[in-house]
Amino acid sequence: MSRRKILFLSGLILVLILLPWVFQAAYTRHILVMAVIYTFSAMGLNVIFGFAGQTAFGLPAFFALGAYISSLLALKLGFPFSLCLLGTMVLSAGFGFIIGYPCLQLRGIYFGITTMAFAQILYYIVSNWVELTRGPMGLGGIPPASFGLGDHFQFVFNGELRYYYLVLVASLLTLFFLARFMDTRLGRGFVAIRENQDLSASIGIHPFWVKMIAFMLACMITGMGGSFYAHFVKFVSPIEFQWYFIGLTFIMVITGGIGTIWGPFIGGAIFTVLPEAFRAVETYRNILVGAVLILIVIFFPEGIMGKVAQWRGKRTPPALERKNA
Amino acid sequence: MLETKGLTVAFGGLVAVNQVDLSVSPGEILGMIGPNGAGKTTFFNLLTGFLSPTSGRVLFKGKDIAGLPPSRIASLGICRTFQITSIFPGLTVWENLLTGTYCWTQTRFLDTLLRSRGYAEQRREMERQAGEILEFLRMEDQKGARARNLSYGDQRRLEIGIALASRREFLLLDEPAAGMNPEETQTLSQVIRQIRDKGITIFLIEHHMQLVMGICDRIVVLNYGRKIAEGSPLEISRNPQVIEAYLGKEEDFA
Repeated sequence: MSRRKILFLSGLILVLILLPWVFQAAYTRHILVMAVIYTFSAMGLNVIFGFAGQTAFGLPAFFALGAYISSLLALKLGFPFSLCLLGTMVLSAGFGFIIGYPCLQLRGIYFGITTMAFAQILYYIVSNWVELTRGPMGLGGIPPASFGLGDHFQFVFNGELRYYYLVLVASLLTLFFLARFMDTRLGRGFVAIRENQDLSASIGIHPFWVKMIAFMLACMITGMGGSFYAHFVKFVSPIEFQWYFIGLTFIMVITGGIGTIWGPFIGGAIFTVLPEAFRAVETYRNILVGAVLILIVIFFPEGIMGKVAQWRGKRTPPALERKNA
Repeated sequence: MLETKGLTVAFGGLVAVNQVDLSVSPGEILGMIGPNGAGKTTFFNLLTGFLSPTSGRVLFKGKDIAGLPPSRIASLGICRTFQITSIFPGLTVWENLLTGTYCWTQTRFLDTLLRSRGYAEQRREMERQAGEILEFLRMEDQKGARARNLSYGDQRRLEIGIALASRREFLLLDEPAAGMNPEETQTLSQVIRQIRDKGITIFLIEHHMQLVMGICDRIVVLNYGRKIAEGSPLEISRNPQVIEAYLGKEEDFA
């Protein structure tokens, strides 16, 4: 890593650490937490859509699914938070396998549409299985996140500030894992399949299984976000499965920079904060968000991080460039 | 090294490859020619798993590989290029070559996560291999260029480079000289010979007769899915059946 890059990254992280001290109101801190939580969704989508090039329209539904899994593990089985999170990661990847197996038999847009169909099925199951999920009434009373041993050493992440640092650390760790992961053979396999599936196969990459791993990883990361969401808001309902959310997640990834490491993180944060920031001018809120979106697409056609990579004189997506740094 | 026995594939009523027996010996350059639509690319697709044969066998080092998925066949030691230029367009030349090393490298996530010595060693070996190929193909200047921005001839060379990076012992080239100018074709002949001298067996489809006649040890001719001739370049160029397939039969116009 170059010195400039270390400087840039530590500056960025410092800003992220200081943000809740600049915006001290409970409401603004709440938005900051949500912004970080949604970065999981964006990072997950980036794995399958940005790196592996598969348009998984249904993926954002795993956010809601993760939120439900985590809530149910806590409410029905009484799992502590750490096990809820771990269980959500494992089960999300498991559901990813079940859904990915039939969907990944198809290529391109057909794959995307089928994942969306499965997302709809999940929505109907969640809203109709009233005994388990309480249907449209949603699940309430989800315990807050806490870590510790036994009853005496519990550290509870109550309040926005504590939760902000919890999700920030988790999100940055995920980002770090992803960055390193993309430097492995398997990570290069993701990108190879995005670039040319037949050629990938001819140099020994099994398209189906490599895409499957990418999809499961994406589901896992997205599900994690859902878990953090559930234990923060302490209420989940089938509304989280909304189509609106699918579009928003794609916007986050595309405006941030498809297939870059930091892009989805930044895009995710921006498009959570923006709608809230414009709340003061309620009537024009969506128009303003739309205008910003259009401006980003015009001035940063390759996304914000794609543009940054250009400024730094690099013509390839930073995802792969990293390893030469 | 590679042998096919009665290899046949039919699409409905059309028998694209019909009872082809053929063998490739280690270290040789075998050429396959034939008029358009003779089934040459289909034949390659059968060898590399992109198509499954209707009947017949493909033996690679004694193991039947017919019907295995392409990635499995690649891992056994066969790599191919495509008739339509096939590269990783969004990646740089350097990244294209590094991606080509997939077959013989490991994922080692923990090593990569911790940047351990194992990671550094593998990384060094990959870069050494990619650098060697870059030098071999005289593409050092294009190292950082995105593949999609390369000239056509360079893209075709890069395609061979990716195949070489995979370190397979058997290389199938599907019309490597297609669309190349005479100079590029000349360079390509040399490159193919040098690859053979590294101990890699080569099987190529080509329409460029000068190239085929110049570098192949043996040539197989396919027409309407059948093998109609096999022999040295000299024998093939005098074979009446081959001439007929290409130029048509002589008829008396009385």
